[in-house]
Amino acid sequence: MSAVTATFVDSVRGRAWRAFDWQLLLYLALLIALGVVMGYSASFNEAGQASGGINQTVKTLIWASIGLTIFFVAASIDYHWLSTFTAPIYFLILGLLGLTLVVGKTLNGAQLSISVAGLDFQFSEVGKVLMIVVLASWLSGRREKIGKLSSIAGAAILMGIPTFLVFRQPDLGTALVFVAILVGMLFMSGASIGWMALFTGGVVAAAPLAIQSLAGYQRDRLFCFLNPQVDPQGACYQLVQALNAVGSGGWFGQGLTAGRQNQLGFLPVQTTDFIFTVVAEELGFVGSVLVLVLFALLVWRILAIGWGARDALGSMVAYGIATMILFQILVNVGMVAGIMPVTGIPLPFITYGGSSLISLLFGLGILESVRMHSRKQTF
Amino acid sequence: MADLNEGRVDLPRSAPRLIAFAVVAVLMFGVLGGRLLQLQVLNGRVYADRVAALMTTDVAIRAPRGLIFDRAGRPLAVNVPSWTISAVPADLPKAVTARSAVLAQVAAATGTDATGLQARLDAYHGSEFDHVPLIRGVAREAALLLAEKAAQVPGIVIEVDPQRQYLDETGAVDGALLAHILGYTGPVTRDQLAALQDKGYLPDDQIGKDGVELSFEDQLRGTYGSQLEERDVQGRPLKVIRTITEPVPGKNLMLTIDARLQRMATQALTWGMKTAGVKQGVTIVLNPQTGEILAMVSLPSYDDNTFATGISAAEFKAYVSNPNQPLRNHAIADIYPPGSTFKLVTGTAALQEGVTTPTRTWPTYACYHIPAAPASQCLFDWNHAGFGALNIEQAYAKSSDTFFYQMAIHLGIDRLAKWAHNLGFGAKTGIRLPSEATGIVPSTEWAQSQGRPTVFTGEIAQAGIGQNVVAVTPLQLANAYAALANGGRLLQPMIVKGETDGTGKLTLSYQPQLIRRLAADTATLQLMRLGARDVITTGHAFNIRDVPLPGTLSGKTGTAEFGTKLANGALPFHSWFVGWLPSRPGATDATLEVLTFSYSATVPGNVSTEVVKYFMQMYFKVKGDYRLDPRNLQRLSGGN
Repeated sequence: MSAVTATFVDSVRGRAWRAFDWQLLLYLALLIALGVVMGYSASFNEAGQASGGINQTVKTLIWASIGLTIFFVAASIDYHWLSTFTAPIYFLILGLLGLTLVVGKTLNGAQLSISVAGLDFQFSEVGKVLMIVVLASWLSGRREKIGKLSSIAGAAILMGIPTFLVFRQPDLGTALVFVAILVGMLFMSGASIGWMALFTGGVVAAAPLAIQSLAGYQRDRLFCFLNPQVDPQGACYQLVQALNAVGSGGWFGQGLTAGRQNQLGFLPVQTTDFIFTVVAEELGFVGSVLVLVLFALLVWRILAIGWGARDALGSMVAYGIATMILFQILVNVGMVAGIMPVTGIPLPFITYGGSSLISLLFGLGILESVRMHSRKQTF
Repeated sequence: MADLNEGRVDLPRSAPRLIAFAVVAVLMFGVLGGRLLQLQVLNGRVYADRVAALMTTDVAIRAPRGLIFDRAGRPLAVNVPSWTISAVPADLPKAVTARSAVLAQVAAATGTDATGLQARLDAYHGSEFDHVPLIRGVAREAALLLAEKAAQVPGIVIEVDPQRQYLDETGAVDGALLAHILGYTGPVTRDQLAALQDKGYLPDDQIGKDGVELSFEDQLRGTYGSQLEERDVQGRPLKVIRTITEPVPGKNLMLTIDARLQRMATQALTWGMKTAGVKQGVTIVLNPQTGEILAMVSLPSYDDNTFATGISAAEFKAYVSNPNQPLRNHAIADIYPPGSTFKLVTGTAALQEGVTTPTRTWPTYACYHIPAAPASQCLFDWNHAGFGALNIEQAYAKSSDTFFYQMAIHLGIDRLAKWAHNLGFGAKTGIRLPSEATGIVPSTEWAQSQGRPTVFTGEIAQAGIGQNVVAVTPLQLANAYAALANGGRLLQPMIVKGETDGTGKLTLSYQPQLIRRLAADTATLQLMRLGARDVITTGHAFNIRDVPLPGTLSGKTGTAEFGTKLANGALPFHSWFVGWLPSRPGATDATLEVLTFSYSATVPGNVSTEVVKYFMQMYFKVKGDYRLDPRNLQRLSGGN
């Protein structure tokens, strides 16, 4: 590994693309492919015919190509444009989330998305990536003041407003992702551990209040994981069925499109939040762990990019995205495995949904840009 | 640190924090992987079993319903393949117009009414994937026609399933001959289902609704088996996994009925009813020794095959609105005043209670003045003249009303009631048929239940001749006389003789059940039997005397006039005759007893005796025809 020093000035195109992280692309491409296959399998028998599945699969493929285009576009542009537009980006986020609250389409009792020309946009998804950028930009500007309480307070206020808007949709899951991103990025920025502990304590103390304000169905679902048998036919139905599906997967699973819980319709929302149950049921323990390994490799690449970034802006974007992906995996897989409360958090790349996929690819595209503009193209 | 930071000027890099972050990430993946190991590998079996249980259901395997034979082994109720057109609601078009179009096609192919089909569909409240029977008993051609158009009628399935069919003594499809005895099967109702679901009844099940089909439902139904079937979350059946229990076919039953005698009794009663304008008629033929009912006819009858195939609303309405109630078995479900046949009770009571002795004579009157009643009020004897002095045997033979008024008044109502009860009146006989009535035996207790202190003396007198407040079922009366004929054993009338194999050969005989031995002395019963013989030889039933029969016919007539006046101003005639054939006068060896009750005749005279006579002529293949025309009491043309 020869240390090739690339400065901002001499980052000519050819040399930059040589620094492109092909591993990252490989892992995310594999995860997207897995998402397409699992989504196909999950909707295989919908309405008793495969055509529904094809339809959704085609949609996913379209979303993936749009997302990959955005990925390469973002990769090819110097990520420093982000710091220039931090303020407009921030107000764009607030505007989009506010708009969703006002004219949002109701889905399972929550206004999560806006429908334009037949396509649903979940602005909270792209909001996550953009908030990572905003926060990275703001934190990297703190320099020597990073250890002060004001860093934590400022970041908390910046993050707090969109978090509150998302929470009001109500989308508890995404709100929690925002909080996780905040914590992860503050930690990696070098913020005071003491103040963070205090801040975290405050959040934990406020949790009962937040839970109180939840709609009844959300609250009921939230605590099912402690004992699913409390209400196996009602609030905990999803979880009970998910556990059955995961457990019956065994070592090697029942094979694609052969999961009985999945194919016989016992899994509600199996193409979205509970997609991992289909993975577990049809691909078994071995398949599930392979998926987790793929995620781990992806996160490793992201952290590597973050560490090797030329400046704090690039590092912080990487750490933010790593935190987001890790937290979503933890909560989503933990949920279907019955060790995390049931909240509507998508599994990155695999849960069906264009907004999530495009936002992720946009974020990872930024990381490729960070990688290509990094000081040292090694790790 | 400077080296580590590689000249970055904004935020310092922190390796410890990155390591901490990575450790948390690794821990997280470790916990998730460990949990998956626990769920999928260590406890995988538990969840797999749970899933298997979730997706499989026990599905009933129907047992074939038992057949019913007559005592000669003739099949009377059989299962025939029948085409049923059903709808699967989930597979029907969702749009109302398209759904109606499908039903209209079905209606057109089968010649039924589409709105009726819609109504049956709407009335169903089971799973969307169940088969809802729309029309049963569809003709084979119509079923095949519809099957060819399957593509145009989504959600419609054509199935072959067994259907009940009722036959007559010749094996022809004829529901009317034995409708009141066999009854019929029909779809289980929602209320019944709620009560019977634990016993394995299914929403689209058939159940006995009347007759033996109802009273022997448990035996005929058999025991349904079950098999394990895989189903999806909506209950759509996917495949059979294995049989859990095999179904046990229903028991085949043999009736005590002889279908040939049933036909003869029907023919005799039909003739009598037609010539005398009788509205409702009953003929019961039984064996007094065993209580076996050999024939039991209640007219008018109905066709139980129309019920088995799903009766139309119009047909059902016609049955229900018929004032003569063809759906009711008048032999057991309706009560009538027994008239003079009840003098058996009064006579037995009077002898047993010492009111009279076999030899003591009593004056009889043209009109009997009840003690303590106003002088202007009296009760006529039936001949409005009286018979002079009579002992009890003579009075029974001549059926003197004024004699039995005196007996009843001397007995008092409660001693009369005691003997009525002893002979089986005022209680169900216990025949294994549904809807048996209890009848009315007046007593002080009964009067008080009616809200008055006691029974009036005039009513006691009339009770003594089976009028006014006494009411019995024809079967109760036949059974009381059977006890007299067999020497004092009151038996539970039998309608089912036993169980058979599939060909109608008896494999298990049900035994006659004794209700009680009559409390009357042998001498008393012997005297009443001799009186019953006198009824034929010197008494009231002289018109049956000359028929040459193998034995010494004994019996009792009864007539009553009550009800709504006829067009000619007279009251309708109701007549009874019960006769049995001992080998010699007073013997207790009769094996044939016949009772006929004719309700509401337009001509006077005892048409019931003529019906019994006609039956016995046919039964014993008597040469010549001894019947009298009830309208003019002349021998029928063709007789000699």
